[in-house]
Amino acid sequence: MFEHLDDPEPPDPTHRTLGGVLARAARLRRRRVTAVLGVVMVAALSLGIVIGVAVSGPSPSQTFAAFDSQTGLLAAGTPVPSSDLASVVFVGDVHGFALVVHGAQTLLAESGDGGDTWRVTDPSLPVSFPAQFEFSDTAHGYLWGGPPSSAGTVALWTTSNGGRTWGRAGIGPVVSDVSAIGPDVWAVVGTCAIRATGAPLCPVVVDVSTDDGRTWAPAGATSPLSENAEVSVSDENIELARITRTRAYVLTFASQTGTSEMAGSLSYTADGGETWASRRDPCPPYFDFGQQIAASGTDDLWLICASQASSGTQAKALYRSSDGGVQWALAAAANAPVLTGGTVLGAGGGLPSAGYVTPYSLGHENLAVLTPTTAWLFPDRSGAFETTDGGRTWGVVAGLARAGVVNGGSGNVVFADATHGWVCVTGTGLWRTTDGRNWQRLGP
Amino acid sequence: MAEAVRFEDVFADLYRLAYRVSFRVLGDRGDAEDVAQEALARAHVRWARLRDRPHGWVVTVSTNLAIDRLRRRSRATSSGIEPVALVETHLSERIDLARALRRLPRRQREVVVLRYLADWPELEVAGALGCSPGTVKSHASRGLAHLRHDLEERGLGGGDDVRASG
Repeated sequence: MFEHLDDPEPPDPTHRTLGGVLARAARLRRRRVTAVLGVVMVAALSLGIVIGVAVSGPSPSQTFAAFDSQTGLLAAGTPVPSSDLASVVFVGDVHGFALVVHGAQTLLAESGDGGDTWRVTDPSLPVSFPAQFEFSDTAHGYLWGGPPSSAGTVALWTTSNGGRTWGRAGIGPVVSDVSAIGPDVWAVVGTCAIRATGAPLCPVVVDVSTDDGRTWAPAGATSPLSENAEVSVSDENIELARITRTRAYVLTFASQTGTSEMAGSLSYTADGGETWASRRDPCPPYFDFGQQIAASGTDDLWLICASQASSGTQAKALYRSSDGGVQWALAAAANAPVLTGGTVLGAGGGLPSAGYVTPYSLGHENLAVLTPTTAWLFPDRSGAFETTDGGRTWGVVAGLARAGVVNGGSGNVVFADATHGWVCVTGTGLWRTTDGRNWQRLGP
Repeated sequence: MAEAVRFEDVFADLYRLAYRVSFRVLGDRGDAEDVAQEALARAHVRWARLRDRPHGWVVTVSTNLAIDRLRRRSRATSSGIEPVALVETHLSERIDLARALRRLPRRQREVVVLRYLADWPELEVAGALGCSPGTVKSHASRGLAHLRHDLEERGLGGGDDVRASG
């Protein structure tokens, strides 16, 4: 059906074309070898040993043959190449979990060595990618999102055995976001099934579990939030940012008038959901595509407003609040007048205009805020950026570029603490830092 | 034991495939050749893992590279840096197609790219992706619906041209 876009006289490949391709391949391979040698040397120096002989390991084809078949159900324990991870989470600096697409299945993989190696834990999860997931420890995990069912529902699945088996939680119909602090788990739940057309605004409630997701009860008061059931609220339009077991923010981005005008709405609770207060949404109306929020502490909030996106560019604005969302100040912006009706903000240039944040990001896992001054941002189809001045300026993470990350991918960035972090470029590879500055590629 | 497939033996076939999907997105011969070469170089590096079924991988990577190339080209245009060979009758259609493809969920995009951009039969798409023909049909149908919606939403009437064939 795209024949009219064909080249009427396509060139025929020649020996010269093949030579050019092989030369490119050789350059790619050298870059890989250089990176691997760098890792080996660092490891050798840290162990205080001298390597006097060549080190050789199993070839990728031997190690990952089962995975590479891309067919059938894999056995638990089957090695998974880190180049095929879709998204990762870590509990501490050693134990991690990853979603992986394998053939028709979405599987769960697990690492016990900081992400160096991965093995299948559950070969066929009850959801499809792009699902979202979270683990509160090595045993208890939560899985939700992905494409809604034919009935317009999005379920929450829980595990208490490290992801080997999953049970469906008795909440719904649309589980939009989940956050666990120890056994204390909150879920933001839309009360209407997702509908393609003509859907009304629908109340959003917060359900709470204090036993690792086994039993659930509604939070005390109905939050003053609503969602637009016409859109897939499961992944991008509702976000839960929990600070402590009792304090949390819920951000929704929905049609406020029943028409096409989208706007954010922010609510706050300090008493475990018993009462809710509204907070002002600072985003100008022309940022009409999405918003995402993150917090480093009780009162420190970061809110990114996103415009329509086009050709890899999206106008963005970062607002900061140090009093829990009562007052906001513009920290940085990426102006793209063509996408914001000609309007530009001050503080332009601090944020990268390249790449997309919400609603194109993977869940809300592309913004990691560590402290009131330090954060990482990984816009979809762009590269990873970091700030150390509270978001006023953002620079490319140089250590990642040196470690071989090629811009243009999508994925997520997670930090276990101020120094241990991972960047997963979906379907490309996994990189880790253990000092917050230097990065290394893990696995094949 | 079956003899391993050599990269050189299937190179021409893979190159034509990569060039075709790249050109459909880019509409520029030089860019499409560059993308095809890059995709094939990446395939060569991974050949031990890909050699049993490289075609789907090459189509997917070529499409992604082409979409990225088109995106960078658009950015260069908007910033006043004029790239070569942009005067092309179907350019807006290609840009809209690339944007629409990017917005598809990963699985739908893989199916739509293989089925409609590379013109593969359903059975071959199923074999390449390791799923059933029914799954391919389902993803293709949903993907097309998304494409239609996306192109129509841009008000360019492109959605009418997006329909299943064959």
